[in-house]
Amino acid sequence: MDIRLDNISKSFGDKKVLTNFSAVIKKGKVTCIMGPSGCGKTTLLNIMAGLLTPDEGNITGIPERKSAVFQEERLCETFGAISNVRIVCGKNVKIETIKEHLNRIGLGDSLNKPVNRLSGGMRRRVSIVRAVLADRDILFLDEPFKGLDKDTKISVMEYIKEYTKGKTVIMVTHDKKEAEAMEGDLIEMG
Amino acid sequence: MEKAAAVLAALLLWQLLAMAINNRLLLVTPFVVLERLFRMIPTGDFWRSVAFSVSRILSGFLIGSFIGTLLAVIAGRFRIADILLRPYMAAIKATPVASFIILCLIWLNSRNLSVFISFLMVLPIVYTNVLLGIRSTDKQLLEMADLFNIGWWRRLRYIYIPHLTPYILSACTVSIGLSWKAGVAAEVIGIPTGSIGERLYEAKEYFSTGDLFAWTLVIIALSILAEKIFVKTLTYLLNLRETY
Repeated sequence: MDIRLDNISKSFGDKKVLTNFSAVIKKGKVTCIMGPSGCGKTTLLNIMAGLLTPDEGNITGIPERKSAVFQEERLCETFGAISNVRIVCGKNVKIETIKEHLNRIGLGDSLNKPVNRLSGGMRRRVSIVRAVLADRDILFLDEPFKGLDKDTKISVMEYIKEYTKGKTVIMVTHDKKEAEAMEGDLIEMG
Repeated sequence: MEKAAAVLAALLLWQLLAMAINNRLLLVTPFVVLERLFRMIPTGDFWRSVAFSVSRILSGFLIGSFIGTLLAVIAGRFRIADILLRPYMAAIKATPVASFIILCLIWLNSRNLSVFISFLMVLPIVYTNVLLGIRSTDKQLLEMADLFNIGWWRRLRYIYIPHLTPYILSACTVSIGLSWKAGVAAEVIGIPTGSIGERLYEAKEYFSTGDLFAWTLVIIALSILAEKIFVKTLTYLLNLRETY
């Protein structure tokens, strides 16, 4: 079932962030939500993820089993990369598999370091592997390539595309090139 | 090195003061205390008194820490529990320990008085600190756990324990010393046979200042030792995690 957003509105105090926003997001495909900063992309994503409640409007078709890369990494700071992935997938995923994934996106040398000792870009990649390996039905990605250099960004994009085939992926970005590279449907806001 | 120098300076000052006062009833020299300690330590009575008080005071401390943590977890989860518990915690904190001791002497056997008094001293401190820790847990991490539908055990292990460790350690460090002070005070008033409190009471009765100082040193040493062992054990247990 596709995801339907009908007349979603959301305000924070006096500030209206979303007004009667409607869209259809196809199940099992990548959809990029694009727009300038402050247009309400993250708010919309958070509403779909169930982290915010809309003031008005309806959403249907969101699967129960969700995964996300948040705007902030939201990692367990004193644990290493593998533990941070394990927190969401438990023992369903083997350590070797987690290591392979982390190696794949260039974190092979930092598997055991507490994440609070990793750079911003490395932390971002840990949160991406965590979201991908959680193996849920829908993936919310909020500016997932923030803080990544050009080459890393390309390899991480390939990684996400490879491991999320057939899943519903909703990505928020302000960068049109990123949206195009993900080869998905495009929803423009603002 | 600095610590040792400070202790030596304090001992020297003590010695000089005792020599200046020159009255063994008012202040004995460190050498007299040391001599008393050397006489006491090899005796069976000494170890029986130590075992009596240590077992009771530490039992009270452990029960208080456990129940305080448990109540904080419940209060952190259900606001109504916090509201209902607040007057009890406030009353325990504000009531003079002597009032509790006398009340407990009416209610309880004096042999177990120090368990209950030590428990009462620890409970509100651990409760307040752990609840503060629970309330200040990173909301964004909890939101992440909700979104991924992470179970309670992994939430506890990866989110709550690392966050609560400093709160639990600071609560226990403060309250273990307090439980010793209050526990021994309870024993001095209740005078249970074979306790450290009874020994202190006897020192007072017989004007034996040397014994009073010697037993006080023993209490300080036991309190520091208990704190160090407990903090090390707890730190080890709370930091048990995968190596990756």
